[in-house]
Amino acid sequence: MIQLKDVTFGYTKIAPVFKDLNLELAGGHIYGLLGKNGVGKTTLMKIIAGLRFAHSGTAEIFGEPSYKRSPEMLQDLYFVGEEMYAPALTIRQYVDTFAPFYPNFSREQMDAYLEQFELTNCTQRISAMSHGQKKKVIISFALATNVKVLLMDEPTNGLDIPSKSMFRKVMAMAADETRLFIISTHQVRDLHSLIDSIILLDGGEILIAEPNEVITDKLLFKVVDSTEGMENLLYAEDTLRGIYTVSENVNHEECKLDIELLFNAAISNKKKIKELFRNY
Amino acid sequence: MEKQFSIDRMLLLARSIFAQNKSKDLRLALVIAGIMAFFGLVSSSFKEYDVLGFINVIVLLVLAGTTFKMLTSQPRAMAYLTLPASAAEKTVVTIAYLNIYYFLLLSVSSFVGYYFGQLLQNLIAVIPFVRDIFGFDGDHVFNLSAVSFNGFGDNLLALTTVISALLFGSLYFRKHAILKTLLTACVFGFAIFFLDVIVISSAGYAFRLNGYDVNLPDLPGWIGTLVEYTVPSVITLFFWFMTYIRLRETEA
Repeated sequence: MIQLKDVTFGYTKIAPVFKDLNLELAGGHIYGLLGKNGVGKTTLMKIIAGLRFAHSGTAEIFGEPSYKRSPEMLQDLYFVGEEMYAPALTIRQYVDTFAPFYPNFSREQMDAYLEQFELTNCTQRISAMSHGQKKKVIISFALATNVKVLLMDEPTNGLDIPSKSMFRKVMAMAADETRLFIISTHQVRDLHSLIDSIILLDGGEILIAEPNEVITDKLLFKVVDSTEGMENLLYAEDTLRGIYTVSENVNHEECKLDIELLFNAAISNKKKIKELFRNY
Repeated sequence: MEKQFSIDRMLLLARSIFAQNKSKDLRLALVIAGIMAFFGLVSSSFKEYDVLGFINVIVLLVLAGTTFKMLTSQPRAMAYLTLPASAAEKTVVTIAYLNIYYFLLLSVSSFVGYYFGQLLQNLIAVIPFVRDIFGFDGDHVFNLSAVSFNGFGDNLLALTTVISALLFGSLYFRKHAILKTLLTACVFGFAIFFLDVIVISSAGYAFRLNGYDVNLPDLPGWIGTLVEYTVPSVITLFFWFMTYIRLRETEA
Protein backbone atom coordinates (compact mmCIF):
# COMPACT_ATOMS: atom_id res chain seq x y z
CA MET A 1 0.00 0.00 0.00
CA ILE A 2 2.86 2.36 0.87
CA GLN A 3 6.31 1.98 -0.59
CA LEU A 4 9.33 4.18 -0.04
CA LYS A 5 12.38 3.44 -2.18
CA ASP A 6 15.75 5.04 -1.46
CA VAL A 7 14.11 8.20 -0.19
CA THR A 8 16.48 11.01 0.67
CA PHE A 9 15.09 14.17 2.18
CA GLY A 10 16.39 17.10 4.18
CA TYR A 11 15.37 20.62 5.06
CA THR A 12 18.95 21.69 4.35
CA LYS A 13 21.42 20.13 1.95
CA ILE A 14 24.05 19.70 4.65
CA ALA A 15 21.99 17.58 7.04
CA PRO A 16 19.50 15.23 5.40
CA VAL A 17 16.74 13.91 7.64
CA PHE A 18 16.62 10.66 5.69
CA LYS A 19 19.14 9.08 3.39
CA ASP A 20 18.21 6.18 1.12
CA LEU A 21 15.27 5.23 3.26
CA ASN A 22 13.31 2.12 2.29
CA LEU A 23 9.99 1.09 3.73
CA GLU A 24 7.07 -1.06 2.70
CA LEU A 25 3.79 -1.00 4.59
CA ALA A 26 0.77 -3.20 4.04
CA GLY A 27 -2.90 -2.77 4.88
CA GLY A 28 -4.58 -4.30 7.91
CA HIS A 29 -2.06 -2.92 10.40
CA ILE A 30 -1.87 -0.18 12.97
CA TYR A 31 1.72 0.98 12.83
CA GLY A 32 3.28 2.87 15.70
CA LEU A 33 5.88 5.30 14.39
CA LEU A 34 8.45 5.86 17.10
CA GLY A 35 11.54 7.97 17.38
CA LYS A 36 13.23 10.70 19.33
CA ASN A 37 12.26 14.35 18.94
CA GLY A 38 13.35 15.77 15.60
CA VAL A 39 14.15 12.37 14.11
CA GLY A 40 11.69 12.97 11.26
CA LYS A 41 8.50 11.15 12.21
CA THR A 42 6.22 13.96 11.02
CA THR A 43 8.40 14.49 7.96
CA LEU A 44 8.12 10.82 7.06
CA MET A 45 4.34 10.98 7.31
CA LYS A 46 4.32 14.15 5.22
CA ILE A 47 6.39 12.45 2.52
CA ILE A 48 3.90 9.57 2.52
CA ALA A 49 1.01 12.04 2.25
CA GLY A 50 2.68 13.99 -0.56
CA LEU A 51 3.06 17.10 1.55
CA ARG A 52 6.85 16.93 1.32
CA PHE A 53 8.76 15.83 -1.75
CA ALA A 54 11.69 13.46 -1.57
CA HIS A 55 14.89 14.92 -2.99
CA SER A 56 15.69 11.56 -4.47
CA GLY A 57 14.03 8.16 -4.47
CA THR A 58 10.31 7.51 -4.70
CA ALA A 59 7.43 7.55 -2.26
CA GLU A 60 4.43 5.67 -3.59
CA ILE A 61 1.00 5.20 -2.20
CA PHE A 62 -1.46 2.83 -3.90
CA GLY A 63 1.22 2.43 -6.58
CA GLU A 64 1.43 6.07 -7.59
CA PRO A 65 3.88 8.77 -6.54
CA SER A 66 2.53 10.58 -3.51
CA TYR A 67 3.88 13.99 -4.60
CA LYS A 68 1.29 14.05 -7.39
CA ARG A 69 -1.48 14.43 -4.79
CA SER A 70 -4.05 13.12 -7.23
CA PRO A 71 -7.69 13.39 -6.13
CA GLU A 72 -8.04 9.60 -6.33
CA MET A 73 -5.15 9.16 -3.92
CA LEU A 74 -6.30 11.90 -1.57
CA GLN A 75 -9.81 10.42 -1.42
CA ASP A 76 -8.24 7.42 0.27
CA LEU A 77 -5.81 9.22 2.55
CA TYR A 78 -6.29 11.41 5.60
CA PHE A 79 -3.65 13.14 7.68
CA VAL A 80 -4.49 14.17 11.22
CA GLY A 81 -1.72 16.59 12.16
CA GLU A 82 -0.57 17.38 15.67
CA GLU A 83 -1.98 20.86 15.19
CA MET A 84 -5.25 20.84 13.35
CA TYR A 85 -7.10 23.31 11.20
CA ALA A 86 -10.40 24.04 12.88
CA PRO A 87 -12.60 26.33 10.78
CA ALA A 88 -15.37 28.49 12.21
CA LEU A 89 -17.96 25.86 11.36
CA THR A 90 -20.17 23.71 13.52
CA ILE A 91 -19.59 19.96 13.44
CA ARG A 92 -22.64 19.53 11.24
CA GLN A 93 -21.47 22.25 8.82
CA TYR A 94 -17.97 20.76 8.80
CA VAL A 95 -19.35 17.37 7.85
CA ASP A 96 -21.66 18.87 5.21
CA THR A 97 -18.74 20.81 3.72
CA PHE A 98 -15.94 18.27 3.71
CA ALA A 99 -17.57 14.84 3.82
CA PRO A 100 -18.64 14.90 0.13
CA PHE A 101 -14.95 14.87 -0.84
CA TYR A 102 -14.66 11.36 0.60
CA PRO A 103 -16.81 8.83 -1.26
CA ASN A 104 -16.80 6.31 1.60
CA PHE A 105 -17.67 8.78 4.34
CA SER A 106 -20.26 7.46 6.78
CA ARG A 107 -22.38 9.90 8.75
CA GLU A 108 -23.59 7.06 10.99
CA GLN A 109 -20.00 6.26 11.92
CA MET A 110 -19.24 9.92 12.50
CA ASP A 111 -22.18 10.17 14.90
CA ALA A 112 -21.09 6.97 16.63
CA TYR A 113 -17.52 8.23 17.09
CA LEU A 114 -18.71 11.60 18.33
CA GLU A 115 -20.96 9.82 20.78
CA GLN A 116 -18.04 7.73 21.98
CA PHE A 117 -16.10 10.95 22.52
CA GLU A 118 -19.13 12.45 24.27
CA LEU A 119 -19.36 15.26 21.74
CA THR A 120 -23.05 15.72 21.29
CA ASN A 121 -23.26 19.49 20.84
CA CYS A 122 -23.15 19.73 17.07
CA THR A 123 -24.09 23.42 17.06
CA GLN A 124 -20.85 24.62 18.66
CA ARG A 125 -18.24 25.99 16.29
CA ILE A 126 -15.14 23.84 16.08
CA SER A 127 -12.87 26.90 16.24
CA ALA A 128 -14.38 27.76 19.62
CA MET A 129 -13.74 24.31 21.07
CA SER A 130 -10.85 23.29 23.32
CA HIS A 131 -7.79 21.68 21.74
CA GLY A 132 -8.87 18.24 22.96
CA GLN A 133 -12.39 18.64 21.61
CA LYS A 134 -11.10 19.84 18.25
CA LYS A 135 -8.89 16.78 18.12
CA LYS A 136 -11.82 14.50 18.88
CA VAL A 137 -13.88 16.05 16.08
CA ILE A 138 -11.07 15.74 13.54
CA ILE A 139 -10.24 12.17 14.62
CA SER A 140 -13.93 11.21 14.37
CA PHE A 141 -14.11 12.78 10.93
CA ALA A 142 -10.89 11.12 9.80
CA LEU A 143 -12.11 7.69 10.89
CA ALA A 144 -15.55 8.21 9.35
CA THR A 145 -13.99 8.98 5.95
CA ASN A 146 -13.13 5.27 5.79
CA VAL A 147 -9.95 6.09 3.91
CA LYS A 148 -7.50 3.26 3.33
CA VAL A 149 -4.51 5.15 4.75
CA LEU A 150 -4.87 7.19 7.90
CA LEU A 151 -1.87 9.09 9.23
CA MET A 152 -2.01 10.46 12.75
CA ASP A 153 0.63 12.65 14.30
CA GLU A 154 0.56 12.53 18.11
CA PRO A 155 -3.19 11.92 18.22
CA THR A 156 -3.36 11.53 21.98
CA ASN A 157 -1.61 14.83 22.74
CA GLY A 158 -4.09 17.12 24.40
CA LEU A 159 -6.57 14.35 25.17
CA ASP A 160 -7.52 13.77 28.79
CA ILE A 161 -7.20 10.32 30.39
CA PRO A 162 -10.78 9.12 29.66
CA SER A 163 -10.48 10.42 26.11
CA LYS A 164 -7.34 8.39 25.55
CA SER A 165 -9.18 5.17 26.31
CA MET A 166 -12.06 6.38 24.14
CA PHE A 167 -9.52 6.99 21.39
CA ARG A 168 -8.28 3.42 21.66
CA LYS A 169 -11.87 2.23 21.52
CA VAL A 170 -12.81 4.18 18.39
CA MET A 171 -9.57 3.19 16.71
CA ALA A 172 -10.34 -0.46 17.41
CA MET A 173 -13.84 0.09 16.03
CA ALA A 174 -12.46 1.60 12.84
CA ALA A 175 -9.59 -0.81 12.15
CA ASP A 176 -10.10 -3.55 9.60
CA GLU A 177 -8.07 -5.73 7.25
CA THR A 178 -8.07 -3.23 4.42
CA ARG A 179 -7.03 -0.11 6.29
CA LEU A 180 -3.60 1.06 7.27
CA PHE A 181 -3.09 3.37 10.20
CA ILE A 182 0.20 5.03 11.07
CA ILE A 183 0.31 6.64 14.47
CA SER A 184 3.29 8.74 15.38
CA THR A 185 3.62 9.05 19.12
CA HIS A 186 5.88 9.65 22.08
CA GLN A 187 3.26 8.42 24.48
CA VAL A 188 3.72 4.73 23.79
CA ARG A 189 1.87 3.63 26.92
CA ASP A 190 -1.31 5.32 25.61
CA LEU A 191 -1.31 3.21 22.49
CA HIS A 192 0.45 0.06 23.63
CA SER A 193 -2.63 -2.10 23.27
CA LEU A 194 -3.54 -0.62 19.92
CA ILE A 195 -0.36 -0.80 17.89
CA ASP A 196 0.30 -4.12 16.16
CA SER A 197 3.46 -3.13 14.28
CA ILE A 198 6.38 -0.89 15.07
CA ILE A 199 8.36 1.48 12.88
CA LEU A 200 11.38 2.75 14.75
CA LEU A 201 13.27 5.71 13.32
CA ASP A 202 16.68 6.87 14.43
CA GLY A 203 19.49 8.84 12.85
CA GLY A 204 17.78 9.14 9.48
CA GLU A 205 17.21 5.40 9.11
CA ILE A 206 14.63 2.83 10.03
CA LEU A 207 15.88 0.45 12.69
CA ILE A 208 12.78 -1.69 12.92
CA ALA A 209 9.64 -1.97 10.84
CA GLU A 210 8.03 -5.21 11.93
CA PRO A 211 4.83 -6.60 13.42
CA ASN A 212 4.89 -7.02 17.20
CA GLU A 213 5.05 -10.83 16.98
CA VAL A 214 8.18 -10.70 14.83
CA ILE A 215 9.79 -8.40 17.36
CA THR A 216 8.93 -10.65 20.31
CA ASP A 217 10.16 -13.62 18.33
CA LYS A 218 13.56 -12.01 18.06
CA LEU A 219 13.74 -10.10 21.30
CA LEU A 220 12.93 -11.32 24.77
CA PHE A 221 11.38 -8.88 27.24
CA LYS A 222 11.79 -10.11 30.78
CA VAL A 223 11.84 -8.85 34.37
CA VAL A 224 14.66 -10.44 36.37
CA ASP A 225 16.24 -10.03 39.78
CA SER A 226 19.77 -10.08 38.45
CA THR A 227 21.36 -9.82 35.05
CA GLU A 228 24.37 -11.86 36.08
CA GLY A 229 25.08 -14.63 33.66
CA MET A 230 22.48 -13.37 31.17
CA GLU A 231 23.60 -13.98 27.66
CA ASN A 232 22.74 -11.81 24.68
CA LEU A 233 21.57 -8.98 26.91
CA LEU A 234 20.84 -5.85 24.91
CA TYR A 235 19.37 -3.55 27.50
CA ALA A 236 18.61 -3.50 31.21
CA GLU A 237 16.68 -1.02 33.29
CA ASP A 238 16.74 -1.17 37.07
CA THR A 239 13.37 -0.39 38.66
CA LEU A 240 11.66 -0.98 42.01
CA ARG A 241 9.85 -3.99 40.54
CA GLY A 242 13.05 -5.60 39.32
CA ILE A 243 15.34 -5.33 36.34
CA TYR A 244 13.57 -4.95 33.04
CA THR A 245 15.66 -6.56 30.35
CA VAL A 246 15.71 -6.92 26.61
CA SER A 247 17.80 -9.72 25.22
CA GLU A 248 18.05 -11.74 22.09
CA ASN A 249 15.27 -14.34 22.03
CA VAL A 250 17.48 -17.24 21.07
CA ASN A 251 15.03 -19.90 22.25
CA HIS A 252 11.95 -18.10 20.84
CA GLU A 253 10.32 -17.85 24.25
CA GLU A 254 6.92 -16.23 24.47
CA CYS A 255 6.92 -12.77 25.94
CA LYS A 256 5.03 -9.50 25.94
CA LEU A 257 6.33 -6.56 23.97
CA ASP A 258 7.26 -3.51 25.99
CA ILE A 259 7.49 -0.67 23.47
CA GLU A 260 9.36 1.67 25.79
CA LEU A 261 11.99 -0.96 26.54
CA LEU A 262 12.25 -1.82 22.87
CA PHE A 263 12.81 1.82 22.04
CA ASN A 264 15.55 2.23 24.64
CA ALA A 265 17.17 -1.05 23.63
CA ALA A 266 17.15 -0.10 19.97
CA ILE A 267 18.61 3.33 20.57
CA SER A 268 21.38 2.04 22.81
CA ASN A 269 22.17 -1.00 20.68
CA LYS A 270 21.57 0.19 17.19
CA LYS A 271 24.09 -2.10 15.52
CA LYS A 272 22.78 -5.28 17.10
CA ILE A 273 19.16 -4.34 16.42
CA LYS A 274 19.99 -3.70 12.78
CA GLU A 275 21.63 -7.09 12.61
CA LEU A 276 18.61 -8.79 14.12
CA PHE A 277 16.02 -7.09 11.99
CA ARG A 278 15.89 -6.47 8.31
CA ASN A 279 18.22 -3.63 7.52
CA TYR A 280 16.28 -0.76 6.03
CA MET B 1 -7.21 7.22 -15.57
CA GLU B 2 -6.72 10.31 -13.48
CA LYS B 3 -9.30 13.02 -13.80
CA GLN B 4 -7.73 16.44 -13.48
CA PHE B 5 -11.05 18.20 -13.83
CA SER B 6 -14.30 17.22 -12.25
CA ILE B 7 -17.16 19.69 -12.14
CA ASP B 8 -18.55 18.02 -9.03
CA ARG B 9 -15.27 18.38 -7.17
CA MET B 10 -14.89 21.98 -8.28
CA LEU B 11 -18.38 22.76 -7.02
CA LEU B 12 -17.52 21.07 -3.73
CA LEU B 13 -14.34 23.12 -3.53
CA ALA B 14 -16.22 26.35 -4.21
CA ARG B 15 -18.78 25.37 -1.59
CA SER B 16 -16.07 24.63 0.95
CA ILE B 17 -14.37 28.00 0.33
CA PHE B 18 -17.73 29.72 0.64
CA ALA B 19 -18.62 27.87 3.84
CA GLN B 20 -15.32 28.79 5.47
CA ASN B 21 -15.40 32.46 4.41
CA LYS B 22 -19.06 33.38 4.38
CA SER B 23 -19.03 35.26 7.71
CA LYS B 24 -15.92 37.20 6.71
CA ASP B 25 -17.39 37.93 3.28
CA LEU B 26 -20.64 39.15 4.78
CA ARG B 27 -18.74 41.52 7.06
CA LEU B 28 -16.70 42.75 4.10
CA ALA B 29 -19.85 43.33 2.04
CA LEU B 30 -21.44 45.27 4.90
CA VAL B 31 -18.35 47.44 5.36
CA ILE B 32 -18.19 48.20 1.64
CA ALA B 33 -21.92 48.93 1.57
CA GLY B 34 -21.51 51.22 4.58
CA ILE B 35 -18.63 53.16 3.03
CA MET B 36 -20.51 53.48 -0.24
CA ALA B 37 -23.68 54.52 1.59
CA PHE B 38 -21.71 57.33 3.19
CA PHE B 39 -20.38 58.48 -0.17
CA GLY B 40 -23.86 58.12 -1.62
CA LEU B 41 -25.23 60.30 1.13
CA VAL B 42 -22.75 63.13 0.69
CA SER B 43 -22.30 63.09 -3.10
CA SER B 44 -24.60 64.91 -5.44
CA SER B 45 -25.37 62.31 -8.06
CA PHE B 46 -24.58 58.88 -9.41
CA LYS B 47 -21.87 60.45 -11.54
CA GLU B 48 -19.35 59.88 -8.78
CA TYR B 49 -20.20 56.22 -8.53
CA ASP B 50 -17.59 55.06 -11.03
CA VAL B 51 -14.98 57.22 -9.31
CA LEU B 52 -15.74 55.42 -6.07
CA GLY B 53 -15.18 52.10 -7.81
CA PHE B 54 -11.51 52.43 -6.85
CA ILE B 55 -12.42 51.30 -3.33
CA ASN B 56 -13.68 48.04 -4.84
CA VAL B 57 -10.55 47.71 -6.92
CA ILE B 58 -8.29 48.23 -3.90
CA VAL B 59 -10.26 45.69 -1.85
CA LEU B 60 -10.20 43.22 -4.72
CA LEU B 61 -6.44 43.62 -5.09
CA VAL B 62 -5.93 43.10 -1.37
CA LEU B 63 -8.09 39.98 -1.54
CA ALA B 64 -6.08 38.73 -4.51
CA GLY B 65 -2.81 39.43 -2.74
CA THR B 66 -3.88 37.45 0.30
CA THR B 67 -5.62 34.55 -1.45
CA PHE B 68 -3.11 31.89 -0.41
CA LYS B 69 -2.27 33.47 2.92
CA MET B 70 -3.86 30.43 4.56
CA LEU B 71 -0.86 28.38 3.41
CA THR B 72 1.31 30.23 5.94
CA SER B 73 -0.54 28.29 8.62
CA GLN B 74 0.86 24.77 8.67
CA PRO B 75 -2.36 22.98 9.74
CA ARG B 76 -4.44 24.92 7.24
CA ALA B 77 -1.95 24.34 4.46
CA MET B 78 -1.98 20.61 5.20
CA ALA B 79 -5.78 20.54 5.22
CA TYR B 80 -5.97 22.45 1.94
CA LEU B 81 -3.28 20.51 0.10
CA THR B 82 -4.66 17.12 1.13
CA LEU B 83 -8.23 18.02 0.23
CA PRO B 84 -9.16 15.54 -2.50
CA ALA B 85 -9.02 17.74 -5.58
CA SER B 86 -6.33 18.27 -8.18
CA ALA B 87 -4.09 21.34 -8.23
CA ALA B 88 -5.75 22.32 -11.51
CA GLU B 89 -9.20 22.22 -9.92
CA LYS B 90 -8.01 24.21 -6.93
CA THR B 91 -6.45 26.82 -9.21
CA VAL B 92 -9.54 27.18 -11.41
CA VAL B 93 -11.88 27.46 -8.43
CA THR B 94 -9.63 30.04 -6.76
CA ILE B 95 -9.45 32.13 -9.93
CA ALA B 96 -13.20 31.93 -10.44
CA TYR B 97 -13.84 32.75 -6.82
CA LEU B 98 -11.65 35.82 -6.95
CA ASN B 99 -12.65 37.11 -10.36
CA ILE B 100 -16.33 36.30 -10.33
CA TYR B 101 -17.59 35.82 -6.79
CA TYR B 102 -15.64 38.61 -5.10
CA PHE B 103 -16.06 40.92 -8.08
CA LEU B 104 -19.82 40.48 -7.94
CA LEU B 105 -19.94 40.62 -4.15
CA LEU B 106 -18.07 43.92 -4.08
CA SER B 107 -19.95 45.39 -7.04
CA VAL B 108 -23.36 44.50 -5.67
CA SER B 109 -22.62 45.58 -2.10
CA SER B 110 -21.10 48.88 -3.21
CA PHE B 111 -23.95 49.60 -5.60
CA VAL B 112 -26.56 48.75 -2.99
CA GLY B 113 -24.71 50.85 -0.42
CA TYR B 114 -24.39 53.80 -2.75
CA TYR B 115 -28.02 53.50 -3.81
CA PHE B 116 -29.06 53.38 -0.17
CA GLY B 117 -26.97 56.51 0.53
CA GLN B 118 -28.59 58.36 -2.34
CA LEU B 119 -32.02 57.23 -1.20
CA LEU B 120 -31.27 58.50 2.27
CA GLN B 121 -30.06 61.80 0.84
CA ASN B 122 -33.31 62.19 -1.08
CA LEU B 123 -35.33 61.41 2.01
CA ILE B 124 -33.36 63.92 4.06
CA ALA B 125 -33.63 66.54 1.37
CA VAL B 126 -37.42 66.39 1.64
CA ILE B 127 -37.23 67.80 5.17
CA PRO B 128 -36.67 71.58 4.81
CA PHE B 129 -34.89 71.97 8.16
CA VAL B 130 -32.37 69.20 7.43
CA ARG B 131 -32.03 70.35 3.84
CA ASP B 132 -30.98 73.79 5.04
CA ILE B 133 -28.43 72.41 7.47
CA PHE B 134 -26.73 70.18 4.92
CA GLY B 135 -27.24 72.54 2.02
CA PHE B 136 -28.98 69.98 -0.20
CA ASP B 137 -30.68 71.56 -3.18
CA GLY B 138 -33.82 69.48 -2.82
CA ASP B 139 -34.05 68.96 -6.57
CA HIS B 140 -31.84 65.95 -6.56
CA VAL B 141 -33.36 62.87 -8.15
CA PHE B 142 -32.04 59.37 -8.92
CA ASN B 143 -30.22 59.26 -12.18
CA LEU B 144 -29.00 55.75 -12.76
CA SER B 145 -28.24 56.51 -16.39
CA ALA B 146 -25.37 58.66 -15.14
CA VAL B 147 -23.49 55.52 -14.15
CA SER B 148 -20.82 55.20 -16.78
CA PHE B 149 -19.52 51.91 -18.13
CA ASN B 150 -17.14 53.48 -20.62
CA GLY B 151 -13.92 51.54 -20.91
CA PHE B 152 -15.32 48.84 -18.64
CA GLY B 153 -13.89 46.00 -20.77
CA ASP B 154 -10.39 47.47 -20.92
CA ASN B 155 -10.37 48.21 -17.22
CA LEU B 156 -11.65 44.74 -16.42
CA LEU B 157 -8.88 43.16 -18.45
CA ALA B 158 -6.25 45.31 -16.75
CA LEU B 159 -7.76 44.50 -13.37
CA THR B 160 -7.80 40.77 -14.14
CA THR B 161 -4.13 40.93 -15.11
CA VAL B 162 -3.14 42.70 -11.89
CA ILE B 163 -5.29 40.27 -9.87
CA SER B 164 -3.60 37.30 -11.56
CA ALA B 165 -0.16 38.71 -10.68
CA LEU B 166 -1.18 39.27 -7.07
CA LEU B 167 -2.74 35.82 -6.91
CA PHE B 168 0.52 34.24 -8.01
CA GLY B 169 2.43 36.54 -5.65
CA SER B 170 0.29 35.41 -2.72
CA LEU B 171 1.29 31.82 -3.45
CA TYR B 172 4.92 32.52 -4.25
CA PHE B 173 5.74 34.82 -1.36
CA ARG B 174 3.00 33.92 1.16
CA LYS B 175 4.26 36.30 3.88
CA HIS B 176 3.93 40.03 3.08
CA ALA B 177 2.87 38.88 -0.37
CA ILE B 178 1.24 42.13 -1.52
CA LEU B 179 4.27 44.24 -0.69
CA LYS B 180 6.73 41.79 -2.21
CA THR B 181 4.60 41.34 -5.35
CA LEU B 182 4.26 45.09 -5.85
CA LEU B 183 7.99 45.61 -5.34
CA THR B 184 8.79 42.84 -7.80
CA ALA B 185 6.27 44.29 -10.27
CA CYS B 186 7.89 47.73 -9.89
CA VAL B 187 11.37 46.36 -10.50
CA PHE B 188 10.11 44.33 -13.46
CA GLY B 189 8.10 47.30 -14.77
CA PHE B 190 11.13 49.60 -14.67
CA ALA B 191 13.27 46.98 -16.35
CA ILE B 192 10.72 46.64 -19.16
CA PHE B 193 10.36 50.39 -19.41
CA PHE B 194 14.10 50.96 -19.84
CA LEU B 195 14.30 48.05 -22.24
CA ASP B 196 11.51 49.71 -24.25
CA VAL B 197 13.34 52.99 -24.25
CA ILE B 198 16.51 51.33 -25.47
CA VAL B 199 14.81 49.19 -28.13
CA ILE B 200 12.54 51.94 -29.47
CA SER B 201 15.28 54.56 -29.49
CA SER B 202 17.77 52.28 -31.15
CA ALA B 203 15.17 51.37 -33.83
CA GLY B 204 14.88 55.03 -34.72
CA TYR B 205 11.29 55.46 -33.52
CA ALA B 206 10.11 58.55 -31.68
CA PHE B 207 9.66 57.80 -28.02
CA ARG B 208 7.30 59.94 -26.01
CA LEU B 209 6.02 59.78 -22.49
CA ASN B 210 2.52 61.14 -22.35
CA GLY B 211 0.67 61.19 -19.06
CA TYR B 212 0.42 57.62 -17.85
CA ASP B 213 1.15 55.92 -21.12
CA VAL B 214 4.07 55.30 -23.32
CA ASN B 215 2.79 56.22 -26.76
CA LEU B 216 4.17 54.57 -29.82
CA PRO B 217 2.58 56.76 -32.51
CA ASP B 218 4.82 55.68 -35.35
CA LEU B 219 4.15 51.97 -35.00
CA PRO B 220 1.38 50.23 -36.97
CA GLY B 221 -2.09 50.17 -35.40
CA TRP B 222 -2.18 46.41 -34.87
CA ILE B 223 0.74 46.68 -32.47
CA GLY B 224 -1.32 49.06 -30.37
CA THR B 225 -4.20 46.58 -30.29
CA LEU B 226 -1.76 43.79 -29.49
CA VAL B 227 -0.33 45.76 -26.61
CA GLU B 228 -3.77 46.74 -25.40
CA TYR B 229 -5.51 43.35 -25.42
CA THR B 230 -3.24 40.47 -26.25
CA VAL B 231 -0.38 41.26 -23.94
CA PRO B 232 -2.54 41.60 -20.78
CA SER B 233 -4.41 38.43 -21.75
CA VAL B 234 -1.17 36.52 -22.22
CA ILE B 235 0.23 37.88 -18.96
CA THR B 236 -2.96 36.85 -17.15
CA LEU B 237 -2.84 33.33 -18.59
CA PHE B 238 0.85 33.13 -17.72
CA PHE B 239 0.21 34.00 -14.09
CA TRP B 240 -2.72 31.59 -13.87
CA PHE B 241 -0.55 28.83 -15.26
CA MET B 242 2.29 29.72 -12.90
CA THR B 243 -0.17 29.65 -10.00
CA TYR B 244 -1.15 26.12 -10.99
CA ILE B 245 2.48 25.03 -11.28
CA ARG B 246 3.40 26.62 -7.97
CA LEU B 247 0.38 25.13 -6.20
CA ARG B 248 1.27 21.69 -7.52
CA GLU B 249 4.77 22.09 -6.11
CA THR B 250 3.74 23.61 -2.80
CA GLU B 251 4.82 21.66 0.27
CA ALA B 252 3.54 21.96 3.81
